[in-house]
Amino acid sequence: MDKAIADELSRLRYHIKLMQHMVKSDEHMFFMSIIDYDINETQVKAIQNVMSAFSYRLKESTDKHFEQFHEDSKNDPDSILFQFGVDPKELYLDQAPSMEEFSKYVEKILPGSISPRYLLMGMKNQSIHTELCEYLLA
Amino acid sequence: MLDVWDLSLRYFHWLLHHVNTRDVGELLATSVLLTGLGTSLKAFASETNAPLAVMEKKEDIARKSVSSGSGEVTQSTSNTIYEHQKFEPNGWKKTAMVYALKYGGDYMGSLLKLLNKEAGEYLRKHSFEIGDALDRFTTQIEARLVDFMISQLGFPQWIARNIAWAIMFLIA
Repeated sequence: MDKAIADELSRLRYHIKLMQHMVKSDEHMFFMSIIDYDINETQVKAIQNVMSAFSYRLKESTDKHFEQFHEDSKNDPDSILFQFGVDPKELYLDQAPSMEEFSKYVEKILPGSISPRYLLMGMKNQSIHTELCEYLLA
Repeated sequence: MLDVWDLSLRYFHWLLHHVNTRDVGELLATSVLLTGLGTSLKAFASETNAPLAVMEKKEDIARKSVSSGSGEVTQSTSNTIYEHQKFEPNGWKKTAMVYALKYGGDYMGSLLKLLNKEAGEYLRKHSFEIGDALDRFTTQIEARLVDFMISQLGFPQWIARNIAWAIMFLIA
């Protein structure tokens, strides 16, 4: 990397960090943790795929389109989850999801990084899959 | 690599500069604790060799691939690759902070001076646990401290962020 670009990157990272102190961080806990842990968009999308499947497993659905959406997700050969060594079929077990199961996927997608509990607290704080977050955190 | 005694001596000198005479008892207790921690000091020694601020310069690397969210980016051909400047926690400062958080002292006072009253109260109440956590974390320390203070200690986010920032300000 060119020195000027490295300098610019350093400055940007530092300025983003300062901005984290300026905004009301309590309202954006999930986004803050993404910046803190330097998590990329693919990883966030993979986590959202896991949350989506878990959410589907948590409650009965009578919506055929919704059922079809998850059937397609389950058999999607281009799923980003393959990048993290996760087969989407694994996510659709015929039982309620658990914190242990969630932790297993967090470790695969974000190895040695954020704690699953903090991740769920952040999502709950931003009203992302609130019901599922509360269920897993309970 | 520095040996254990060399490091003990360096830490002792640091304490002499930073601890008041009225805290001599504490100083001795800390020194005794330090000499008993052979294995920890080996890790301490390896951390001490780490640079405080690094503008890494890697020679003779023609191409380098970096994975990113959107795929793989191949950087332009160059003989020198600079990585962005990283401020890594310095080994002996981190060790001193761990002891200050766990057992008190002037370094803890320096930390409290960087915080407002409310954040200071939270820190005082849970300083031992925070010191213990800081001792365990070796990578992504600031992020992990924020994570720990919110998810394990139940701190409000802005307080956790301010405390983690102040700790990093002093040790990195």
